[in-house]
Amino acid sequence: MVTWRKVTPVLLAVATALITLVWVFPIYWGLITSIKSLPEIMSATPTFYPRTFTLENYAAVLFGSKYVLYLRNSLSVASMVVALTLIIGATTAFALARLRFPGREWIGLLILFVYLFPGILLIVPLYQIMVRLGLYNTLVGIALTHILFTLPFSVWYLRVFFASIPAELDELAQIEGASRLHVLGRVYLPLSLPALAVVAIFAFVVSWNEYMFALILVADDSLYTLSVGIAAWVHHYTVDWGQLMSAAMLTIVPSLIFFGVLGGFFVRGLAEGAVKG
Amino acid sequence: MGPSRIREDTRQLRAARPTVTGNGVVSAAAYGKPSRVRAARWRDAGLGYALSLPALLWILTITLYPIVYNLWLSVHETGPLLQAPTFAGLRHYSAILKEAEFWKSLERTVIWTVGSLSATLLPGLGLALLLNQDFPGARLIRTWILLPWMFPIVVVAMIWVWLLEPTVGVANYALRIAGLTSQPVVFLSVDWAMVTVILTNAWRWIPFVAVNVLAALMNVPRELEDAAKVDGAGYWQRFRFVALPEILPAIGVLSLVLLMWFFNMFPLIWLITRGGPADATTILPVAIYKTGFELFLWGPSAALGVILFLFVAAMTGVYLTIIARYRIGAGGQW
Repeated sequence: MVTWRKVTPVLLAVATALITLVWVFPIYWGLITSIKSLPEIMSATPTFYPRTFTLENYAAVLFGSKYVLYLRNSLSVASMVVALTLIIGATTAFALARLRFPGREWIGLLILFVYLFPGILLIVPLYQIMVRLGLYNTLVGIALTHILFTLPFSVWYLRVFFASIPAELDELAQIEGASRLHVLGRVYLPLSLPALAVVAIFAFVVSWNEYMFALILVADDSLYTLSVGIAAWVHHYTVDWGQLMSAAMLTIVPSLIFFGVLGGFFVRGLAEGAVKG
Repeated sequence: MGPSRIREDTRQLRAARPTVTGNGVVSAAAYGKPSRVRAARWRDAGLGYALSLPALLWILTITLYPIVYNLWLSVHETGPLLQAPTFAGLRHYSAILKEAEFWKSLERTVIWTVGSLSATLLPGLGLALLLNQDFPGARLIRTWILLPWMFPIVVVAMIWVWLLEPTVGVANYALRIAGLTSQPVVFLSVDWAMVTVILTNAWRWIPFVAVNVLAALMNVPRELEDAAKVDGAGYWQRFRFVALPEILPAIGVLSLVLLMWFFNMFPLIWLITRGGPADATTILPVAIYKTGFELFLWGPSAALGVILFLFVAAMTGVYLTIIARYRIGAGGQW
């Protein structure tokens, strides 16, 4: 006999699958648009699976547009952001987790303040400051502002991680005569490789995705990052949806890799943060 | 078997929960002799400052200094290239507050924020409750549901503009096939643009809310649920008296953060509508951008920023006060 106990999970799975379609379908639609031919894309009756299959759109984006240039800019900015986030994040987190000094809690609070402070209120002054510093219209300028979004999470995440490393380890190392800095380099960093990987990938994706600062800090189209470059296509040329969706699909590849590798880990980390507030 | 019994049992179990203490700081006393203790303490402090210095410098130059500089800009008059700044007093502020356009933008900002919050929080909570159940594939979805949130905003905007395209877009096709519309719906028209951007924003943020609420739900101690079950509580009773009080703090923090983020959000609206058509989606953040980077009125743009900040600060204050009062009213518990 069929009982509710057995049927309920199946019903729940079906319901969830249907609800998940709300998120799956738009992505699916973008994907199949990118591999359809132009006549099929523009036909009045949309096709829900592609009748034609073509890589023309991808070829046009990769070889016939500035996509690769934008890609290089995005990669440069993201690498700088990852490097700076790791260095500043790890040292600050170590200081906050393991060193006792007056004002320690204030630094933690300041970083939280930065995290919550709305970026839109900084665009005018930061633009002026970057012009003054000669960093306007440079990729370095963009990277410096992206740290605004990456550092708070990194410091918080690494701090929690460092704090979970048994303190006896550094006592031992110090009795052996190692300096604090040595302890950080030889004990903490090697033990924290998974956490550092999370921070690195997070910083990469945040920088890769960021739009507002990359928009206001650059004037030359040769310095556009992917977000800014693709957005400009929509408004400057006749929209070719096939090419636009190809560009979109290529641009989400880092998010996909990120999720494939560290999805569960990241969601758990994010979740812990939310619970702790 | 009434709610009071469940509540009482839950309360007792909560009170018996161990509290976590200790911050993991190595005490300098571990080093031995007093003089060495003091030396080690000084070294620790010095190193602490040295290691925090890069972060502090960065906060100073990229956040604190710009905030002060923005205040300065807001009371000065300059040319487009910042030539010859002259003191303007509160002229920009009074001009903004007299403009009807400002009040309309503020109204749109409130509509946008409240709309986005309601379209995000309740469905997010529902999704979290669903994903908190055990069924085949649940683990997989719990993680992957967050994927769209990780997409670049420009990609989300483009995909949605394409779905909602008036002539060959699939949304209009679906509406036509379902017999709901005879004329194509122009989703980004003056009448519909705000609804469209709010729903697109909700699409992006519901998974984020769901994952966060889900984490809080999973942290609800098993004993509490089991005790309530023994007391004969049904699903809704358990949610109302056991789970909800446990996850309310998380939801409180989450909605405050979302409130602040939505109120100050620029990229999604800018990418989809550029504030149009006819300013129908020009919320204050969009107005700040347009005033500064299209009209080059830096002073007024900075003043708008300060006004927006004051609103956010006031809202946060009100929100925290309400929460504090509720907390006290509920006997120290959420």
